[in-house]
Amino acid sequence: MNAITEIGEIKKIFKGALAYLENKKEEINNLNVFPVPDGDTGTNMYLTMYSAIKTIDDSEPKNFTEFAEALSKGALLGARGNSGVILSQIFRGIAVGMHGKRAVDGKVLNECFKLGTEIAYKAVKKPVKGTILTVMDGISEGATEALKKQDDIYHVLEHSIVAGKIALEETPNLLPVLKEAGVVDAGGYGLLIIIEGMYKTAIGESLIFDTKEMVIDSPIVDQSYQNLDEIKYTYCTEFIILEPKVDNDSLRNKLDSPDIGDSLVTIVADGIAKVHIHTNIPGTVLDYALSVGNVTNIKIDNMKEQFLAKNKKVVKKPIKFKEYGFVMVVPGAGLAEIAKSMGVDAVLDGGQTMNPSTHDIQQAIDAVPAKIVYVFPNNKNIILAAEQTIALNNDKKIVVVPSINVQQGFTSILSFNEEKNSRENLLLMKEAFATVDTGAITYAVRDTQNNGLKIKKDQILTIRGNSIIASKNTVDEAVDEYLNQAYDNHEIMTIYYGDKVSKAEADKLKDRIESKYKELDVLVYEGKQPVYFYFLSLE
Amino acid sequence: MVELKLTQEGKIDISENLVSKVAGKAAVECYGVVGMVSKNFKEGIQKFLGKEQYDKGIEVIYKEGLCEINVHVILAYGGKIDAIAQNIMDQVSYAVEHYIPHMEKIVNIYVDDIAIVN
Repeated sequence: MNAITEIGEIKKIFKGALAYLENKKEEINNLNVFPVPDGDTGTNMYLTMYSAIKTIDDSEPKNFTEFAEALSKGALLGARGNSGVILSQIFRGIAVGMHGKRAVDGKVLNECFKLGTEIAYKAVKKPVKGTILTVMDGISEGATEALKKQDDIYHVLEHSIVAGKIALEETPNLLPVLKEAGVVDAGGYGLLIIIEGMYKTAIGESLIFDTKEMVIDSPIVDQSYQNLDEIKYTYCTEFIILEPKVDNDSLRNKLDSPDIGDSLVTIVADGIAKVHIHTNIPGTVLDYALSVGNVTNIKIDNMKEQFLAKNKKVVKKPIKFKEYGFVMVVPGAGLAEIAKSMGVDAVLDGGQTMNPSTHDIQQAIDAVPAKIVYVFPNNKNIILAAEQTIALNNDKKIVVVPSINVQQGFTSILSFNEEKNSRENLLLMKEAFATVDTGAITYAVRDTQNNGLKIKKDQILTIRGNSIIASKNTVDEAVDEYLNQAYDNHEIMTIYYGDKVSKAEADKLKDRIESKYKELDVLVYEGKQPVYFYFLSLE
Repeated sequence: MVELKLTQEGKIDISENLVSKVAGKAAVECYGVVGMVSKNFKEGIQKFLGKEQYDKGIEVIYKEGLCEINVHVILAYGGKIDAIAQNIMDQVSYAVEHYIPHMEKIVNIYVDDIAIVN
């Protein structure tokens, strides 16, 4: 009948399990689809158990009660993530079972597993079937069955693993999300790895891999340090010894000492050993390694330097999203300047002939760090492309204001009220469209017919809203025709003159209009838009 | 109502109650949660909420395009509270994102009580 009677022995078993878990960490991470598929189950379980083992090491327990207390406390303090929290509760139960015992035999281990299960289940009212708890059930039942035959710790561990594996295989049948992903439960697998690691260490198998390739490929992921003072040993030293003259135990015995360093991991297979250690004397470690075999793949990192470099990067402030932002499509550099002066964050160039694509608009949205982005297409043909960006943005809410020209865009942006929500603002802005009458003066590129109007190439066209209302021979006549039809006791007229018009010409127009319409204030802006002589608005 | 989508053709709104149910179901299944606290405290502390009461203990406030989900829970004594609360936050946030994508939200966890069970 085998039993563990020495504290050193139980420590070794738990440490072996931790090392085994570390090696399987990535594999566990890759299984993680439930409850949140963030691929950190293995890492969380490892860090939780790491904290437990570190607390045990620091407290130097002299009996099983002290060991159990450190195990429970360390796991609780280090608990991370869902599986980590559950693991800490399982360890708490195991600790209760170990309390006051002089040895851990099959019977005590069975009691530990039973209590681990019981306490872990107490902290959840609606346990989901097919998780780590299901696997713990299996492990515990396996132990109980095994104990009926033989009160031997190795025997009990062995049968717990077999029963745990069966329970693990069952998890996809209990939890559909696992079946869909074609995996077993990550936390359950992690738990099984820990128990397997204990068994392998107990029978002297731990950290022994089957092939040289597995040793070379085995990842060693260090725990992250929170501050510089925690780094007691500066140099993270890793190397491979080929054909070592000593076995794993002698290697560990030699290196596992505070005089040399900490975080020792040794991974061995036939004829190869990988060593990882944090030390202040890498030379001494390497001298020893050279004395027991040929050394290759040497890697020595200064962790303090790494820590400082890493934390420098972290200082970079994350971009803070403001509450709202504006993206506007405008034709012409002058109009772009006006838009910016009105508080538009990103301006896209887009005339009648060069409409920006959804992709272009999206790029402009990307450049605006705001929770709500209002997009002003300022053109009937761009509204659809703008609306397609709504589905492309997960982190931002896109509100497309259906403005059909730049005058509407400018008027509606002025009615924006930051006290209101996006829906109310959209309504306000749409209402603002009605308060402004818009016109444009351009020329015909070819002979055509529109709305019963016969238009000859190079004639000057008057556009009101969306329709051509007149064709004239001069620009002045065309502007007059717009005012004839649109003027209705308005107070302000805004004129944006295009790249074919000089400031002097625009000012002359202003004077002419103001002398004819005494009540009207005319404002003149340089729009620099191509194709259109003038954009006009009355309000 | 929570405004989910707004286009020229119309809008899609969903009720706060729907958000509560999705969040509540995720919360009661979290490890460490043994109960929820009803959002109007007149009802007192709910020891355990059955299937029909997933939305109890969840408060949803929609304002300025942002959906604030407040989760009021009772945890089991003996677990690491911040880790459990973080898990609840992650799981509720994930579930809501999964069923109601494109909704701007924040998830706040309120640990209102601890149940000591022996």
